[in-house]
Amino acid sequence: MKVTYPHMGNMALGVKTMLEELEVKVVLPPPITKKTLTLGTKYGPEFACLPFKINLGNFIEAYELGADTILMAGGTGPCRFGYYAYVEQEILRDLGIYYDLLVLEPPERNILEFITKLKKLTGNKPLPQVIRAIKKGFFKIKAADEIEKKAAFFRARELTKGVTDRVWQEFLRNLDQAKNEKEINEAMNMAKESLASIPVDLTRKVLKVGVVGEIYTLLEPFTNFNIERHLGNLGVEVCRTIYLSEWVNDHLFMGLFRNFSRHEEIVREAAPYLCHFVGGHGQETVGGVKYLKKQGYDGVIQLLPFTCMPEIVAQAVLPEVSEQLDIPVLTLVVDEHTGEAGLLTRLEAFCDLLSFRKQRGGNYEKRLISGC
Amino acid sequence: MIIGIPRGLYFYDFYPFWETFFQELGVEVRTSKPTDKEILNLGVEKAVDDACLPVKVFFGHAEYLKDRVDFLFVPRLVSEYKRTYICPKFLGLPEMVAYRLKAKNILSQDLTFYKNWWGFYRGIYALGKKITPKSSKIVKAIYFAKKRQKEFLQKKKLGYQPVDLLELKNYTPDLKKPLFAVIGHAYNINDRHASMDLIYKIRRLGGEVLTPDNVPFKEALQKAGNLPKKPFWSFAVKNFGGALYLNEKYPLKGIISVNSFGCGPDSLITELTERYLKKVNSLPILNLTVDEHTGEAGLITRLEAFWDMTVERSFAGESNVPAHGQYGLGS
Ligand code: SF4
Repeated sequence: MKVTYPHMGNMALGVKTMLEELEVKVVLPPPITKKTLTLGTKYGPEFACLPFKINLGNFIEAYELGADTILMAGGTGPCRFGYYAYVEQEILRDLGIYYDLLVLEPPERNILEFITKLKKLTGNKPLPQVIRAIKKGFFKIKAADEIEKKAAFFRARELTKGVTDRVWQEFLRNLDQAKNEKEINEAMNMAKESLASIPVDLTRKVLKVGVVGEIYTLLEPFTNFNIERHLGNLGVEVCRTIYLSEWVNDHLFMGLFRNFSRHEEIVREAAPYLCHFVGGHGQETVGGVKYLKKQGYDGVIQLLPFTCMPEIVAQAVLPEVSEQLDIPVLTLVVDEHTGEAGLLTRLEAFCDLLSFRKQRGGNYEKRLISGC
Repeated sequence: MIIGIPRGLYFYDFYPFWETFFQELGVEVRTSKPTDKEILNLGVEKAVDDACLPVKVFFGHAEYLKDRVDFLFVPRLVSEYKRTYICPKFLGLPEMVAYRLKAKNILSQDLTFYKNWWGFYRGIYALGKKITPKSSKIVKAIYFAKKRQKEFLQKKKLGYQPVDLLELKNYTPDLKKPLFAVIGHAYNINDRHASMDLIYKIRRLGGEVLTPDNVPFKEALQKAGNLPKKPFWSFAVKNFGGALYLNEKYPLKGIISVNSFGCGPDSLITELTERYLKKVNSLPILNLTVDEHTGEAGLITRLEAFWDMTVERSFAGESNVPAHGQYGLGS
């Protein structure tokens, strides 16, 4: 059995560690490129969303490298994601590509059921080993998220462009090689030190922008044209409302680590603009805007793949949220036809608007005028 | 008090129920006119660009109605059957309408069958409470509404389309004519403007139409068991299961699948349905995608060609030929 799974941001790192710890052979799909997307677009249904097409491309490419089993998360709807794997398998089969499916469906109410499912993969490995493997994978993802958050601060303020990115890349390499918790911590500490030694301009007035939206587009730099890096280079500090470790904790571990993710807090903020879950991360998107506003952010960017249903619901109410809370929101829809240049122009224009507002002292002035 | 029910989305599924329910409570019910250019334009203007046609149509109706009634009825229909959902856009409909149309008087209620029927009726009871304090009156209203809905369902099982029962009123389907299964969402098929009168066009050519609405949900659910995983959308069950059921039970000439441009669930389920049907037989399939830009002329041409291929040819004793070659790679 040679297991593969779709790329999604830093996920590959963690899952690979977990599987290797369980002595499962892993075949990672090659990094996502234009070719991956072209394959997915060619063989996928026309109106399937972008993540579906990229997944499909991943699987075709991984098959060429010898993978024969797909490991994926499932879902109970109403977002399409829960049905991805099955349609993809069907399409692949017609292409003469035969994969076994191993889908982790979430009705599993607790981590024990999740582990039982994993058993299929692991054979009869003793439970402690399985737990150790999961833990190690999770720690890696968590470490990556932590450094990524810190990097956003430095990227916006670095004096020489590109230094932060170099630290980040090096950290990823170290993290990938880390064999145990101690080495993970070492890699992390090293990254922190390198970050701290980056020459920065602390007096610079940086804009703070939050990114909300559909999880895959948010987490996978290929689909969002590395939006965080671009913004950072424009001198903007970026934060997301969803990090992979939080998602894993909420959805696969069923909130095992308490007070770890901000998910509940963010969802609470969605009322009265969206009082019911709508699948995917639609409610988090709406709540995220208010959450970020409270944290003092200057603007918010919503990212979604074309035809993403939960995000369209969010998109429909966001103008109202933006107006009532007085925070600009830019919606960016991506699909296989999106051009990087156009996207960047819009980003730049948005940042100009934000800094203009900030110079003018936007909010403050407004409040004074309205007299409250 | 006048309550307005927009003529879109679940209208074709539940209107008889709501009409009776509200009337029994002593409320006047008003609906918008059938979709036309004006309604569609209103919807296109008010909804988000990326929304699908049916949602835009619904927005058009809601906008048209909102100043003509005291309350706009926009329930949050979470789930129509056990362990299923409708589309995410139904889940956010009340807020979308409220904030996009700046409509203040919206009568809404969460209605969900997800766990059991009790959840659904509790929601309807709560809705009644918003109108009258008298419990007995509400219970009675629910009783009559259910009865009316049941009659509606039974007629549908006989081959009537919702639009026949709600708008055309004096049409009797004749299942002896050449039969076509039209697979798609009720709000597309029955909306004469959005679907460019597809049903009527087929009938005018001399055929008769069957849709997932004519299939009992139980049967569809059983057929949907052919899928690798039980779909979590009731639409998927109805469309996939319905297509299989109609295909087995009636001597169909062909299948016409109607999709909204950019419909999420359909993008996956239509794919599976077609692949499955292609595997079990070689019935011709015509694929129609509708959005606000679809032209009528193109549709007529394609429909006529499809008719010629499936009906005229089989009259001449030729066998059926698949619509566009073998479905598979690259299509
Ligand atoms: S199911 Fe499809 S067509 Fe219907 S509202 Fe949802 S996205 Fe639109």
